[in-house]
Amino acid sequence: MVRPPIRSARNPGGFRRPRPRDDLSAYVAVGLMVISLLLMTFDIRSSSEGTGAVLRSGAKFLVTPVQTGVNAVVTPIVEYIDSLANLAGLREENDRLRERIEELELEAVRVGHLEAQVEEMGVLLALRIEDDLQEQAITAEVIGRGGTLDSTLIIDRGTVDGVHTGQPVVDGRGALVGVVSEAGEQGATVVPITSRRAPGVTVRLANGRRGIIEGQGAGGLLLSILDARAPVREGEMLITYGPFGDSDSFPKGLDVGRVTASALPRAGVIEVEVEPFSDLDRVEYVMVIPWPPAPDQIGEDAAVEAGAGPVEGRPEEEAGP
Amino acid sequence: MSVRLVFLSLLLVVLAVLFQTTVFHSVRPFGASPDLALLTVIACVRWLKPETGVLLGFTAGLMVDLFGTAPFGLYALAFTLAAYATVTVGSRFDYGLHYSSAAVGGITFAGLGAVALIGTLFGEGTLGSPEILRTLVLVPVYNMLLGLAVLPLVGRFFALWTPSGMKAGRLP
Repeated sequence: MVRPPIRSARNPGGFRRPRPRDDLSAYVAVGLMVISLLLMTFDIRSSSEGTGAVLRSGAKFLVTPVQTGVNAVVTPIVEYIDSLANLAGLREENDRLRERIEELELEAVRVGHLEAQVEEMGVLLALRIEDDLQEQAITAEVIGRGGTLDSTLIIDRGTVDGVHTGQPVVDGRGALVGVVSEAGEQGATVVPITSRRAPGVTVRLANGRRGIIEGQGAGGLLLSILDARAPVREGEMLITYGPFGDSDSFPKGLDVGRVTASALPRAGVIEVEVEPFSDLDRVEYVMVIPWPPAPDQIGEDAAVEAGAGPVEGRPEEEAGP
Repeated sequence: MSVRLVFLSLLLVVLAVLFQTTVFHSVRPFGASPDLALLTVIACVRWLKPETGVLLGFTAGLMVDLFGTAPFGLYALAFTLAAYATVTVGSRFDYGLHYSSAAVGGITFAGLGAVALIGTLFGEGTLGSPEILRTLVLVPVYNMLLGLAVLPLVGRFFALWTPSGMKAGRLP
């Protein structure tokens, strides 16, 4: 039953009206909020294997083709609008780029020499992704994201393409973006390293020191170094350490981030914020790295790195003459 | 209230969630994009019975939850809250478009604030994010601006499917 509208000077139309007496919306809202809280609790406790994960997987199966299609149609339109919006600045940009090209041509000569040195050092320190991993990496397009405050990425490659849960994801420059948290047939969800749900990343600092990076929610990373004896300097670059202890979540040598401020050890511990190399808000294309590789490949890699030929403990070598 | 209205609301919400998660990730002026899903919920709830409106908010939130990795139910809770807020201040929408727009901004801010606060309580660390303030300010502003177009559009769309003379929130 609805009461007639109330007329007032401010509201001559009489649109303001009391809510009906039989309005149960408050009770319904409280009930649904309790259900939401229960769902969240179950989801966190079941750690990505509960009802939420099943529903998300099903939704991905249904929606990924639609998202891929919509993306294919919309992206060119968005890019066209972007280019129109920037038309006024194009001439100025063109002049600036010409000057820049001249500068770069000069620099390229110098860089040529440095490149050779860097490549040699990279191989020596084994700090780069192995070429075979790079070649096997699966290129994917970001076709969607989570809610407004959720930096989750949805990509258009799934188990059919060789994408599986737990594989690391990098951007076009090789900087670590995140980890595949769920993989459906046609698409997958990537949880960014800045999320608290992402696994911790063991990283290597200058001088071979080791630390752990953990996501602090949207946008932030925190580096923790236990048993620290030397300070960490601002701008220090961090790369993945590679397999260490029980953790083999990441290959070695992936760019992770840069320390944002110098920090001294306090009680043997350093905690400092890190800025990720990858621009997680803008990344459009990513590469999924097929990691960890098959166990026999790890053995071969280790043998090559050690430069000592056969790996100890492998049955065929042990059974030698 | 017609079942048709509920069906249409659901359809609009599904489209909005798809559009939000698929298109708006590449349209982010100043690092934030409008929350079209929440805006659509606000626009539709006014046309439904209060209880149905709250249920619509919950359903829309669950849909958004399907696309993320935040605790499943976080957006459902926030959208339920936003839908209930819309029901509570529903009559203000009838004062005019500027009131409606302000209400949309306020409700969007409350909804996102709930996501940030409850997400932080559940270990997401959202409130610690350096960009949270920008998001909490820009998204409601974008929704207010977008609301100027979306609210009348949804109104006209629903008016096509409802008996003549019916106004938003006035139960048949």
